[in-house]
Amino acid sequence: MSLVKLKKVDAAPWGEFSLQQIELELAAGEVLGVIGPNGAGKTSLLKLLSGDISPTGGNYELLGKAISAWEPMPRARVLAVLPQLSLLNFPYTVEEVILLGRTPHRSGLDSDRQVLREVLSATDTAALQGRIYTQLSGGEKQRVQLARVFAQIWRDEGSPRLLLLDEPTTALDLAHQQLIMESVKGLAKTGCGVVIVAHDFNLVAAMADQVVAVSGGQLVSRGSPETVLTQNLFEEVFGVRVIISTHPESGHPLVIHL
Amino acid sequence: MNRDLQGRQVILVLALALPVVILLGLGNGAVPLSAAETMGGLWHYLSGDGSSQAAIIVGQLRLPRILLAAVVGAILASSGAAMQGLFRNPLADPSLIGVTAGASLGASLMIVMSGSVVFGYAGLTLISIGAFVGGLLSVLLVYSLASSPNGTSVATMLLAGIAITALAGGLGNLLEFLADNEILRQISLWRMGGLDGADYPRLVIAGLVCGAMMLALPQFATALNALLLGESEARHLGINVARVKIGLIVCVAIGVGTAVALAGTIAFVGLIVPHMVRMLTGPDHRRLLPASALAGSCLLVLADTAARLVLAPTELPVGVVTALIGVPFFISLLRRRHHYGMQ
Repeated sequence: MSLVKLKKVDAAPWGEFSLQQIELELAAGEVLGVIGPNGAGKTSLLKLLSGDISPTGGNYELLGKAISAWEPMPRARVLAVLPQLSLLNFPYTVEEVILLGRTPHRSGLDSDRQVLREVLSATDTAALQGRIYTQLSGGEKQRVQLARVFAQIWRDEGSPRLLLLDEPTTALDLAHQQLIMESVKGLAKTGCGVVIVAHDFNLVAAMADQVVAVSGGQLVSRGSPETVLTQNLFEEVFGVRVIISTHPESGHPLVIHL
Repeated sequence: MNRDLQGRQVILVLALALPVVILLGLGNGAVPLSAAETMGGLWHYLSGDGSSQAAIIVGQLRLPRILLAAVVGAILASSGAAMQGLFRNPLADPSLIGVTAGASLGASLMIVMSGSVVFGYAGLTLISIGAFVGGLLSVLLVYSLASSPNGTSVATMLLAGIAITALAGGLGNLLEFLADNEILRQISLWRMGGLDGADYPRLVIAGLVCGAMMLALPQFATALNALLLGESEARHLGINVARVKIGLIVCVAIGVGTAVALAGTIAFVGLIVPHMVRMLTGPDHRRLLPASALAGSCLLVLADTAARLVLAPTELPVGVVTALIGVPFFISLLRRRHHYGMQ
């Protein structure tokens, strides 16, 4: 059974079609990168996967069960979402924000604190633990939100999990980008499927087992990073000329902007 | 962790302060009583011997009024905390969903219609019923204006609440314009909010509603905590957002409707108290809701005591006192808000 399975899914949250005929499959432990120009439907795809918008046609099954058939609580135990923007303006401490990620779990204080310690180190936020969230910098806030969604699905509780990340590294410095990438990879190894929307193609190339390119609400290309990230794709979808090389150490595709 | 402890301490201190404040209110007024006289009067009244002067003053005049103040204060402040959480807006106040304006209009209508026919107790009861029904009807209107097949938008609710408040205010003004002097004075006195109509039947009604609220609201504490992150974030954390919205709005509409019906419009308690409490406990609603209820009780009992004392033997409407004391205090909070991380 695959973690996520979409068959000919259409979605039209605002009257017009924003996604058409989406075919997608993701296994537990797999990392999927989503790329595409502004307004192509990347975030809509993520909202579709998270259940925020419902399919108007086709089938979307999460763990073999139609997405609409899930109750909120059980779904929150297997599915966590990092939104692009977070508008929290109440003075929670960092620790309180991260522990909100444990809301769907009835795992008890001790185990929640254990998870807290682990995600604090996975996002390098331990030093911020007692700070007020609203007084943090943009990059710090992003790491705290990441820690919150990590905390939600950190533990393997007998079922595969799915993590949806909408541009998770936009505000992060290089060191923290690498840390988050390592943490996400580590999480995937424990059986968590990950979907990352990103404009950083080299990050996608390094992280993803599978890449999809979205354009005009449709998936125009799907496959391994090597097969999707091509000069042709960049010209057709993004309208730019790039050079595709190979990373000298990792061997992943390397996209060089001109 | 520290905040958890601090929150519990705040709740404990407030819970200890409330009986003290109530005793203070019982002892002070047009006829000052010493602590011993107050306690003695209260003891006599409660043990069924209500014939002494102190027992009459304490038991029949002050006790129902002060307890009503405590109950109404708890309802208004906890409703304010819940609304600020639901709207994710620290400036939200229970009147935002139109309940206060609707209740005001309902009461004005009743005063105009019954003013010349029904007097005294029956009139007061009719006005209360009018206020309660008016409050609920306007919340219903605001809620349905903000609801669509896609769900209920709190942003639209806020705007619809402002619109309905303005509409009810306009209609109320029209009534006042057409009313004669005696009725005009009745309407404006009612609007200022007062607890002078307090008696035991009213206290029982308010107490029951308050009790039900104190049981119901904490059920929403975790959901409100998650909602501060945003609606879709709360949904992703497993919260049934639509159900929480309806539950909270019903709670607040009934609670504030009752409070306004029995004590008129009392300004600022629902806005200021949650603010003050949040500075001490942080935004976690598991602590914020009970602490706000207790702080609201204390504050309104104190304000009412002040209202009875300042111009004694004349009693000021308590709404005037809360506004006059509350607003300068609130402004000083606003100027220091960055100290506690409020944007």
